[in-house]
Amino acid sequence: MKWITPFVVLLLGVAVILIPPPDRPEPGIVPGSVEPPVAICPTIQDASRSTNVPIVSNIAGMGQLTAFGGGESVASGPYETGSSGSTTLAISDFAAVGRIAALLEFPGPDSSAASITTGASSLSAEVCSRIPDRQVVLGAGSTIGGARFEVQLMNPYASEAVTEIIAFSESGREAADAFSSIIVPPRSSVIVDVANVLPGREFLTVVVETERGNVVASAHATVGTDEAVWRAVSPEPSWYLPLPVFTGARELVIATTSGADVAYQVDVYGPEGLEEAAIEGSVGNGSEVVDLTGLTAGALGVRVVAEAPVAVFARYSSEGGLGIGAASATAAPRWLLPGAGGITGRLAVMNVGLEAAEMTVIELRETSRSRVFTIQPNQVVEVEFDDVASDGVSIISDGELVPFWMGQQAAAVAVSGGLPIADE
Amino acid sequence: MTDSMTEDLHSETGPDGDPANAVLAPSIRVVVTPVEGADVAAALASIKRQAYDHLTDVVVVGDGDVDDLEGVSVAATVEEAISDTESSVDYVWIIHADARPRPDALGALVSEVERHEAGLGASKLLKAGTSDALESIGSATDVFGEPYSGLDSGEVDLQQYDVVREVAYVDPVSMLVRRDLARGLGGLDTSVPPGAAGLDFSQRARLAGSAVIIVPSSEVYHQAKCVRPGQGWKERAGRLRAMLVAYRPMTLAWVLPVAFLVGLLDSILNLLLLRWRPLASYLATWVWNIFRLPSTFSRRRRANSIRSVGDEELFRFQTAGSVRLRDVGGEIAGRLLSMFDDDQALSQSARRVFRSPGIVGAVLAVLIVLLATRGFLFSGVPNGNFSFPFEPPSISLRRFLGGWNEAGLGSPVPVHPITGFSGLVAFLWFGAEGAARTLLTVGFGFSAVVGMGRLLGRLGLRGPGRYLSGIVALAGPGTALLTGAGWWSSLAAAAVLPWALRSVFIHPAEQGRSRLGYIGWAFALGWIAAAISPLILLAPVLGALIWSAQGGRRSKVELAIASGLGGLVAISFLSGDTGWLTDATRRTGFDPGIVWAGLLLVTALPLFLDGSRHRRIAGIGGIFALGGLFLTQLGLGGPGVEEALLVIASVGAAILVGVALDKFERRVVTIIAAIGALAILLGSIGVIMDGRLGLPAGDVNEDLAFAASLTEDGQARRVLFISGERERVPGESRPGPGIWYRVLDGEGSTTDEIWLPPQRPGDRLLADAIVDISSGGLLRPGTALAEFGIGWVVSSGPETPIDEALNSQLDIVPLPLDSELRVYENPAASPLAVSDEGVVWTRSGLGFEGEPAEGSVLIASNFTTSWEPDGVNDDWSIEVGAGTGRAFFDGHPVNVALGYISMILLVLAAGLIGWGRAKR
Repeated sequence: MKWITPFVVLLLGVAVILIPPPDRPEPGIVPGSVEPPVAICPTIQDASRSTNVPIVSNIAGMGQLTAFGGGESVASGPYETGSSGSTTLAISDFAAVGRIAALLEFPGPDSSAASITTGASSLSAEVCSRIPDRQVVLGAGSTIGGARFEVQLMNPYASEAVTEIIAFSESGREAADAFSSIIVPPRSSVIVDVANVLPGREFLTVVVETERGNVVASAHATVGTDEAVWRAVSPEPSWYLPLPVFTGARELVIATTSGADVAYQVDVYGPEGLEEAAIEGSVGNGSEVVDLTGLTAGALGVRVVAEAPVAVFARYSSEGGLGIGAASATAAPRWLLPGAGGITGRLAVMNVGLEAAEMTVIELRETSRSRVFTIQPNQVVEVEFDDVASDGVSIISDGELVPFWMGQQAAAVAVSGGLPIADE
Repeated sequence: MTDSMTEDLHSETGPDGDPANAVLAPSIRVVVTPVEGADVAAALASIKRQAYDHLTDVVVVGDGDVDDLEGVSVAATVEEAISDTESSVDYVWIIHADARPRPDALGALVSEVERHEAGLGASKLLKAGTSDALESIGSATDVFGEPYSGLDSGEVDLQQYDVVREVAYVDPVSMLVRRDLARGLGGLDTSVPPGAAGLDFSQRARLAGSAVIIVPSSEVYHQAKCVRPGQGWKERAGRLRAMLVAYRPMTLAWVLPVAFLVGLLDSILNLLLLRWRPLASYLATWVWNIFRLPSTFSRRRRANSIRSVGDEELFRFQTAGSVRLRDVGGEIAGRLLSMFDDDQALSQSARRVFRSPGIVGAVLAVLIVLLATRGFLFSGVPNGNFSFPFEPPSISLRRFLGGWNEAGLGSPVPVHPITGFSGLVAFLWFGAEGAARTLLTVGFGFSAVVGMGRLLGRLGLRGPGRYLSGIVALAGPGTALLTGAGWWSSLAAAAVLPWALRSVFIHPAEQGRSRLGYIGWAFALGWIAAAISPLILLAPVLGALIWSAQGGRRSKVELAIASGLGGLVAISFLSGDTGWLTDATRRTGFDPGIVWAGLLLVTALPLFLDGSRHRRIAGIGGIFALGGLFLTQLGLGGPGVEEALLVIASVGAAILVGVALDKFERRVVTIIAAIGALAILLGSIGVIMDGRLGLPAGDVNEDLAFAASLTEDGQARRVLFISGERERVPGESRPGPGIWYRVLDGEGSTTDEIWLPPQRPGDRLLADAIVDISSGGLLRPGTALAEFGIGWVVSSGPETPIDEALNSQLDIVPLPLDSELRVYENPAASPLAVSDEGVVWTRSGLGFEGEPAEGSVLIASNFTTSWEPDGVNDDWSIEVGAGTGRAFFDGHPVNVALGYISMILLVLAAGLIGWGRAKR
């Protein structure tokens, strides 16, 4: 026994030194992020303008609209998508309280809503945003000639948000105290009047960076009697944008998040098919406007590829009309376009795949109508909406498509894209 | 002065007058060293009177006016006088000019030096002008050269020390040195005062292989004119120089740093006594020696040239510990005692007590514990991690006796038995649970120190290490990790385990005493140990077995069994929550690190190689320490196993430290063991010097006080506490998606809630809700949490997926209530108990009460059938009748019975202890 104990002690000591320590218990695995089926829409309800919120979904079910502003829920109520999976809500049925915002809770994840605002001589349309991002870009702004340009920061959540706005104009980066540390209280929206701070700018790009909390941003512009509302998007290196026929000017606005020069290339999907690098250039001072009017009078599509992430917007303008909408960074076989077909107008769809695609366009309403089209690769097809108003349009295809629609009401014009539906 | 000294000094006859014997009597040369103010003539006269005939001549060192004296010559230095000595001379008698030897002093000196074949002998010194008051009888020193004679001040010579013996050092007042040795040593160091010179001379003589003896029969009166006031610092400097000259490099490597620290501590303690001189002296000592290093090295070279033995020969005559610290400690204790002790009886005892190394160790350990617990006295015991306040004793005792377990979302599974222990302590402290907890926690420090001292004392140790080792038990390799993570119970376990271990051993001197008393102690201590940390109860049993296996006879199986029976207190808890023992995912995952293991090996192995008489104790310590760490490394078992192993490892390390520091023996193996032990001890001291015995600061109940203060209906809602870092969550936590979480009582968490009982349906639903929230898929997480009574979500540390999700939801409101915690309020939270009519019922004891009414009351706790009246399952929660105005949990009869039986047995054990004491 005399030497057994020291031997055991030595053995234990060596074992302690040699054996690695046990792994520390770790917390559980973080589940994949689930996007709640909601959307946040800018809304207006006043004497001259009223917002409708068309909702389209691939299922019929119950949802809820909550109008919020001033730190509280102004109004809230349920809705039901009919057998078509679609419905249109008038914000006036919920709250008659000026310019606020609404949170839409959908019956399912494959759902989308739009904010369609009509006035006596104005029309605007834009898909409501679903996921707030840390950094988003709003291009295509202008405050020259008395044009109004406002940014609406919407925070439907219970937490306060703090944002920073960085603005670029033809003069470069604009400094303004009013743009820094903007607090957006819970259940509120804050409207930043950019025209008031930066009047007389021909081209304005606004970058919204959220420092704390979550904020959805959209822009609101007024030129003459018409208005445009468009959503902010996250910068991406490539964008798709089909452009329906329009009698006025069709422009492409490429916006960056910094004043640095960013080279870009525009590939055009025209009547002659795809023309790569039809236009090349460089974005400086935050934005670059590319006039597409001269390319063709018919429908066309473009793909913008930049050497750094950018945001791309379509700008339709005419005498008494202004429509601005964000391009799409992805192509998908299925799309929901809330609000499309609710106003007279047309839809342009481009096939960016390598194969011909068969596309079913369903105008969603109580009695929906379906039409089937075949789109060749690199081709843009234009579809006229039915005379009967719809809540929106659903596109189902077997190819990689990108849609964009335009509506007109008298001289007023509105443009908007849609929501791509991921493959199941 | 006489002018006929030569004639007398050059007598050719032997001491007996027979010329035939003259060759046998050693011839002596006398060297008189000068002393300022001393009468040299008188000194020579006393030398002349010596009844010893073989004096060759007398040399007076210095420039004394002795030229006219026959047979008296003059030399410039002692060294010169020695080197001029003829080879026919056998010895040199070096005597101070202020010394007055009795006539037989030299004869006795020569006779004893010859008889003992010593190289150096010295006379007993009596103070001149007194009634034979003793001045010096030679002395031991400590390793730093501080003399320790054992003489009391003014002690009279009653021949009580009259035995010739070897000593570490002799005064140079009257020394007889063999001539050849004297030549080799080269005289006294004149740069230092006489005391230090004597030490230097004695040490060099011993290193040269000569015995150094004191000859009490040679009596010399000393006028002490050589002692200069204000030269104390130089004496100290001389001692340091003597060390530098004598010790080998390996010895100096550890002696010098320790000397530095000891001097510093001595200076500080003297400052407490309002004496600044020791500090100045300390500084001067080191500065003087630094400047004298060249001459010190020169003397060192010379000493080495004649060295024939190692430092071990010096160590043989040295006392353990520090004489200075012992003296100053005794004085401080004496002063404290004198406040109550007019006649100084205790003070005198205290001085004697402080000569015991064990007591010195105990005092040091107690001082360290006092410093280590200062924070508790000023700001209370921290609340957080695994340290929660006590409940009022009436509630905690009822909870222990089969009451409702309120941790998390509630459970019928019995609470951890520490709840009963805390209730008992609070009850004994007159119901003041806060004060009881503070005093108990401070008491843990002292209990560990005294417990280790008593344990190791029972096993045969007597040195300073046995008490100091208590610090290692408190903050050694295992407990340091536990207390660092806020495990209050580990402090308690470390404080109790030494006592529980001790209870299964009986010292041979105590054999045959009241057996029932010992059984009572073993059971009671086993009960307390098991209540605090059930599995540490294995340690006494294992300790007894290991001791027996090594051939020891002090351990008693029946006591180990009695101790093990104390585990009855934890049976209901362990059977209800087996995961606490078996579920490795509930462990904290401590990593003891290899440094501790290395130090433990360095400490343990030499103790076995040394063939130490304490190798059995070292065996227990080594197996406990390294076995505990080894099993911890394997990662087996639940948190209860983890805690017990780490505490046992610390107590094992403490045992090793106690053995290694028990007695300072100058052998390489024991020095290595002592160095390892010192490193462990210093590491442990470092852990607890924050003033909180290593517990993290903070008060989670204060941090979460808003939950109670902001309630609108008088009932605080629960708090869901989350963090990505487990150690930030108070108490036990559960893994969630990228987070650790647990539910806390909004009214403040208490000791019974540290451990979460096994999951029940409500806990599983809550876990699902948390996953849903963290995915970001819930727009209204408050609604999801409301049914659990969760009114608050508190997040700590770096942002988690839950924080991210809570930034994008609609019904949980962030509030800026804390600068570090992220606090969210859930206004939709249900009350913990609410009637059908929406009337909130309030807490009452372990249940709820409210207005009697028709219908039922919904209680947001996990359902079990034992809720009354008429408890039924409502999904996962409890619905009881509202008719009586009371809702309460009726504990399982087995758990209730076990609780009462364990309490009754504890009382019986206390009775046995009392009976045993009375019988003794």
